[in-house]
Amino acid sequence: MIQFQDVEIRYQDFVAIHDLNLTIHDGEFFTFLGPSGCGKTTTLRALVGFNVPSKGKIYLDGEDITNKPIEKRGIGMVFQSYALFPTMTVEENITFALKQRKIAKPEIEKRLADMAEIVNLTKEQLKKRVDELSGGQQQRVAIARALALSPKILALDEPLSNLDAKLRRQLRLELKRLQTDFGITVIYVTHDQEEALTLSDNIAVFNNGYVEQTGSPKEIYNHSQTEFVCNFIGDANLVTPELIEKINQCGLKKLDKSRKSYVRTNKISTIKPDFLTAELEAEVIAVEYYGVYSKYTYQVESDKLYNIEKENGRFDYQIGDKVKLYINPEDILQY
Amino acid sequence: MNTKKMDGYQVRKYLQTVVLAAVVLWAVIAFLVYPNFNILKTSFVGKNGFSLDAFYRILNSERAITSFRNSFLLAVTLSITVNIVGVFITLVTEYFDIKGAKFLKACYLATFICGGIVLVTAYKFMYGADGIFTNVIAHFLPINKEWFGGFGAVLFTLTFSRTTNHLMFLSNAIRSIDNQTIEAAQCMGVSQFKILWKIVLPTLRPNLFAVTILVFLYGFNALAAPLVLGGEEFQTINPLILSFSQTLTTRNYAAIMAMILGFLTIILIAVLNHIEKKGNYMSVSKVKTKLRKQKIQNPIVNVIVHILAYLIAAINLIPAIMIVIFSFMSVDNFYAGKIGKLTLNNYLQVFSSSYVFRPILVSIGYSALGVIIAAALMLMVGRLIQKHKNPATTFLEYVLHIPWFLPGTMIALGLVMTYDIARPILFNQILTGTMSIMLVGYIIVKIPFTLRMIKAAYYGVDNSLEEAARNLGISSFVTFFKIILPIVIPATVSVMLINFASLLGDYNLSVFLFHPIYQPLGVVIRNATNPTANPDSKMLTFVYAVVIMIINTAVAKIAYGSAGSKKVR
Repeated sequence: MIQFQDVEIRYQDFVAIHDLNLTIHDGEFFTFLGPSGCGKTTTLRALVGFNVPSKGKIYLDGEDITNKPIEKRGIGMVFQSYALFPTMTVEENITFALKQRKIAKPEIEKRLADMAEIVNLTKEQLKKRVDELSGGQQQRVAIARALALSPKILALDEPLSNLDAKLRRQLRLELKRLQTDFGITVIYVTHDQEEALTLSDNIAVFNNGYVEQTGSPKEIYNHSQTEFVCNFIGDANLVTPELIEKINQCGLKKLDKSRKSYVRTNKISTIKPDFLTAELEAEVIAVEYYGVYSKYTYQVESDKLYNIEKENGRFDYQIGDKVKLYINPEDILQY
Repeated sequence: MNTKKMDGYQVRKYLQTVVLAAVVLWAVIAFLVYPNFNILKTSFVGKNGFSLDAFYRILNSERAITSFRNSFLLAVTLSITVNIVGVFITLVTEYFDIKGAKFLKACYLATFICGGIVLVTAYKFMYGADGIFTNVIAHFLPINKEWFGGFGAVLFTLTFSRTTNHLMFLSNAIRSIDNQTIEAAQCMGVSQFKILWKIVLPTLRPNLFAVTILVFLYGFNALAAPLVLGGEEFQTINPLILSFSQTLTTRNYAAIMAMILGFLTIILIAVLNHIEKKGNYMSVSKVKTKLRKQKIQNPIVNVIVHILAYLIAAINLIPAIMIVIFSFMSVDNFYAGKIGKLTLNNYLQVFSSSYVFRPILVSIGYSALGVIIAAALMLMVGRLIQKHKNPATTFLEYVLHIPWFLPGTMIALGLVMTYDIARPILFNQILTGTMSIMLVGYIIVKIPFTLRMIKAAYYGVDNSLEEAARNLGISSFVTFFKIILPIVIPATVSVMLINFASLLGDYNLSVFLFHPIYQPLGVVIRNATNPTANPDSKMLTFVYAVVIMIINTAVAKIAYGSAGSKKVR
């Protein structure tokens, strides 16, 4: 178990991380999510040992590792640039640390074969120089190198950011498989909300050096505790006080008009649900076709709302169509 | 970042850093600071204490003032002529669609292969009073055999020997121009000349300033060309310093002149840097397209440009070709002004006699040792500067650039005049007159360039590689030797080769520092241009020159060729 206790990280006068308190359980796929400069990588680097907190403690299985040397923490790291040693072959990259630790040759060979199998690298690829590999293959080498030392924790700093969209999706699945197979704790840094939602057991959403919310992907998405989290994760409609007034008229729940209100795009439906909801008259004013789904924009009174409907043949609204929108007041997020 | 406790790793690193810093500090003080400080002291402090007498004597010496004026005149005119020729040859090889552009480029690079003293010697033996062309023409026409001398000859020779800088620095700038900007101007109906003037040439301006600084300093500090070709009518500072430094009674005049030269050089660098900072252009193109060579639309202009391009190519190529031909000629034919039957005799003499071969060995030995030591030192210092960015390392970096700001003459004189007696800072060792002083000089002058390039190579290494190594538990020693060094080695080797080539035929520094028994090639070649030199030994200098040219060609091929293909990753 990893614990950050009142951790503060400073760069001279600039406080990069304020009073961080976070617990990560064994075997979890835990994601640090947030925009650029929010402190997520700084936190990861403090855990690995590249940054030393100016205040607070970091514990690993109850042991204070705040000032423990990097190499003694047992945390493997995969860097954003992969940081593969360019003058070495793939095989040399993976076995380099093992050789430096004077591990017996048969054991090194066994671990190399294991790693190659785990990350799907062929024998031919092992003999190649790292610059002869594709981005996806380089990423596999970086993971294999980090895993070769059998770390307790694997720290990944935006490892998919240099890859194209299709490869990202493919490698995401492989990362999840690795984590499940090894039962290893993975700390994953990303700014990509989709990546965080699909991979993680738990997410910490960072903003300006603070953790705004920690929780499972569903909790974070459906019960965003702050306006930042609500806006950063997924699509949300800003609901004006006039529309809140209209929703209140259905008498299901009294919402506070003076607070900022949002509703997720997937919480607006054009099909009447079998429970009581607010019903709003709307007109389709824009349709964006994305293949698997379409995004519809509606004029509701003087406001605009939009939702997403699966392209399953049931919806084929045209601009100018009059529809009814159904919103459950319980789904309105207020801040 | 907080550094509360140091672990064993950090303590070891700290100790290594302290020891390295101490050694570097000593070397910097002993070889860069103290000798130059001593020049200042020698200039103004005599037996009777502080005195400006020697300084006033220099100022009242017509010969000295004329030499300063001539140096300045040479630097200014050279900056203009080299820029005109340099920009022209860059445009004809990179921008305009000129027939045989690749061949032209090879011809333009010929002067780089020849190098300073070799080129000057070639011109002297071609067009000088006893030059082969002069002799041939004198057979038919009543000409003044001293026609190739003075300011014109020096300017002509230096102009064509310095244009290779333009080819190296400006070619990349031209290639980086986005072709779409030219096409956009063409769509607007802008003329070809206006596009060149308003779009292409302004993008070259920053590089042009950088090259101009180099050319200006080269002209200001020129030694071999004015010495060999300037004659009595065109004396510049450095030849005068050399002459003053050779007698004990006038040594302090040499020191003062070297100091003034150094002072003026620093001021000129500051002024030119200031001008350079005013204009810098960066491409804002999101998607750059490769520059397509422009065909000169006006047929008459096209023909004129072609003629000029080939004429300059011939001027550049002829000295190199002639040196090779001369090296196969017999001494009788050479002085008779006819090529006659070519012979291998000169080569046999050089390669069969250890005495005659010695200058080649001396130059190769000193140059190789000098560049290896400079590179090894700068690999350590560069690492120190990269890893510890603080006021002390910033200051160290500035100090290590001293040889760039000071003329070689001043550095050489500083060493000669400081270490001619036992000094505690050098553990009471006398350097002057020993075999090691030239090696020290070679190392010193190559420090700034080596440091700059090695530092750039270090900064090109992805920081996360070291972090990854630390994360894997690799020691700092192993990380440096197994990960970092292999990455910076290709760039270091290129720098070493370039340094080696430039030292191989060096004259300007060597002439002050060489050991009489171990004369380097530059000095031997220069001595052969003396009218009193033995005719046979003159012929041998052509073989020396060919050796230098072969090595320079190999270096250019390896260093510049590999720079393109093996980028520092």
